[in-house]
Amino acid sequence: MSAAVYLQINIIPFLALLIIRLNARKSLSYTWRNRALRFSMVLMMGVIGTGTAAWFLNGRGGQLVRILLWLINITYFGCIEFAAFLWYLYVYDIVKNEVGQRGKKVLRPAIPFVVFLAVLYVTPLYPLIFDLDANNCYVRGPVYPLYVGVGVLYLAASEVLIVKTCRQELSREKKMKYYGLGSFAGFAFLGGIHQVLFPGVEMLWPLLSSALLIVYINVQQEQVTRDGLTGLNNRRRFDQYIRELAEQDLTQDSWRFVILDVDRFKAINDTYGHVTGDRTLKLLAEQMKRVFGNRRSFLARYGGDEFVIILNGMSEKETLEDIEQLRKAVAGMHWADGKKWNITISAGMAAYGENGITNIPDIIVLADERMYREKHVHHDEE
Amino acid sequence: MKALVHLSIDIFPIIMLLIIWINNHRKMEKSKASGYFERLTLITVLSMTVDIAGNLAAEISTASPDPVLWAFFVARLLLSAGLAATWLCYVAYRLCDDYQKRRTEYIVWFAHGVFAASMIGVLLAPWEDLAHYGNGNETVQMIVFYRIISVENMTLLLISIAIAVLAYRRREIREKRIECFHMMWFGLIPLFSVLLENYFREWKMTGAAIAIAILYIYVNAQDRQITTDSLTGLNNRREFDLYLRRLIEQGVSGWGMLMIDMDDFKQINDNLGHVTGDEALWETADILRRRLGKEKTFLARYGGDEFVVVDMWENESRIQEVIQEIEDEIDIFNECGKKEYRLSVSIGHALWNENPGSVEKLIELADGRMYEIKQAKKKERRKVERSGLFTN
Repeated sequence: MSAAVYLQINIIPFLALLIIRLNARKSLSYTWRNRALRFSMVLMMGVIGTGTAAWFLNGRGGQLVRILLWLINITYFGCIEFAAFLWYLYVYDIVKNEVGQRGKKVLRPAIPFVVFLAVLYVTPLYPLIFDLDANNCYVRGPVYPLYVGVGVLYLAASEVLIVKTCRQELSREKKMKYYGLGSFAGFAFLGGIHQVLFPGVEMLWPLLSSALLIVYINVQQEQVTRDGLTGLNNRRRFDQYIRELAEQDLTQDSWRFVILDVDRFKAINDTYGHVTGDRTLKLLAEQMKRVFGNRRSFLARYGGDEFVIILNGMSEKETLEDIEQLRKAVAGMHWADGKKWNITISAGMAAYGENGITNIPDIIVLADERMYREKHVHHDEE
Repeated sequence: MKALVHLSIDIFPIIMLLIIWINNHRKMEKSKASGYFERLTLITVLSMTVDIAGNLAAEISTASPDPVLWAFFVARLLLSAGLAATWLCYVAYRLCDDYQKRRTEYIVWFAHGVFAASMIGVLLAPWEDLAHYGNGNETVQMIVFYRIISVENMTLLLISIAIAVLAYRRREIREKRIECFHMMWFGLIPLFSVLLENYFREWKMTGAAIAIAILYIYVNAQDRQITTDSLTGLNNRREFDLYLRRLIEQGVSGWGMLMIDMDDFKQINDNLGHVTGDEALWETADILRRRLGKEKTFLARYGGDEFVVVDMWENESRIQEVIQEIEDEIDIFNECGKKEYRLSVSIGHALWNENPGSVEKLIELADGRMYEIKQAKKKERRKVERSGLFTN
């Protein structure tokens, strides 16, 4: 393979990674998980960069080149295994729905990585993973399979986690997300096969870069459809979801639409200020997630203080029970300083096909009307 | 072997573009520019795929002249011509201002015309002369066609760069200038790749270069959706929170904020309808943008009818000047009197220096001052109404 071809194969993924890395700085919020994703992009760039540098220096004479090649190869292998390890932690974090891997929890899964690093850094003394011959040409060391093994181990472990969770997941949307995550190992597998069939043409890194790209684009898409304050779906996603529903046959299941609204929200905002108003919405959204999160449901913030819940496969009685549970949860909440929280919500529910209505916007209008009727009752009680 | 090399180079951009296409395809908002963007994505994928398939066919083919190879060669030429033409149309629509609709349409017609001319030219040429594929065994006619199409593509790309440069000089708002700047670069990179391809046979990066441009445009468009408010185009609430967090983390001290609330927005909304209400919001945002958007001032929509402005204001007098500027601009808008409503805002301010501590306290301070001003205004108006000077 000529230098031009090698460069072309690697420069495009490198540039693409650079673009998404820079973009991620703005687009992704500052959480452990997103930092891990961003850092894996950097590691992947490191792999491609050092890989290319090693390719160009390979077989050139001189003591300086020899030292450089040692350094480059050590970085290369280190980056690869670190990326694999980080990928496992990232997947674990998503699957277990946690907020970051720290402390003792990391120790056990880190063992293969640490063992590998120890073996790798022994290399200058006694070449185990790789070696350079008299002409500064790269040769594999006796325990080279360890390098492949550790990487494959992490990828396989993440894949098992993904497949297990994906099978338990109910909503189609989340399943799609796991397919995106799962594709990572698929690409690695393809790259591996390609390498075996056509030695000399390294396709593994470009393929893994595209897997990383898929993950990033999905994460970004998730952000586009999420309401920043409450973490529920936003209006944009709601409109899109309604359009998707309209294309399906809804008569098979029982679909219910619930509209929720905070009573006298404007008064809260004006009396206590915006900061309190926002906190109210956030807390309410948390309770909604707690009550409806494990149902087949779609939760969205419809506008200012209005929320929509779309439920599938639940009877009217069950739905009303859930709403009542939510009401109780909201009524039982306290501020951080223990002060009583006297906030109530109004809710309206309508089912698909009720009164012969099969147009979703009209059903939502019906639910909205019912919610307002209840709100007037609430206001009159005051 | 050639096909394999091309596959190795192009597989990454192809996968990348397909992902973008799938994600982009689901969206409903379709403008002219986004239509061309989608076409651009597909044509780029197609041209790379055809190139790989053509090289593969050339390796297998034994016939000479081979009609299959002719089809591949012609498809490749036309796709690359179509790529440049679509890029030009995309840039023209993307950077077009309202008063330039006509000019944009001329450019689009021109791009289509050039593409049609090259199509007729290629199809009318005797097919036996063009029935090869790949390097080394081209006929003279093939090379001539290849060069002509390359020159044509470079011309179209140059026009797109010229459009971007002109738009850059015309624009005043910082964000829009940055957009033009990027458009210019993304014209230059494929231009460079076409040149490279003509001189060095081994460099085949035009498709990949455009793919990179597409990725950049796509992730930035997504980013805009995440960080800006779709109605007013200002930053959204999320971005405001992040911005303040960054200021605090960097330990910047001499800054202040304005909390701007529209007066009587509910009346406009109730009496004149939501559409007019939205328009009033947009106009207010636009006044802020015109007045403050040229510099690095941070503008955001805070909630329903509220806006926030953050900038490095050291002291009270400077911030009062800015408030006065905004009020003046709103007066000018009202005096023009083209709308059925009058805009009016209450502005509360707060400086980090007067209340260092938490961001929440700062917002509450600005919020409180804004509320006082609003109440004072209402009182004033009631007085005026009672005195009978102002009857409506």
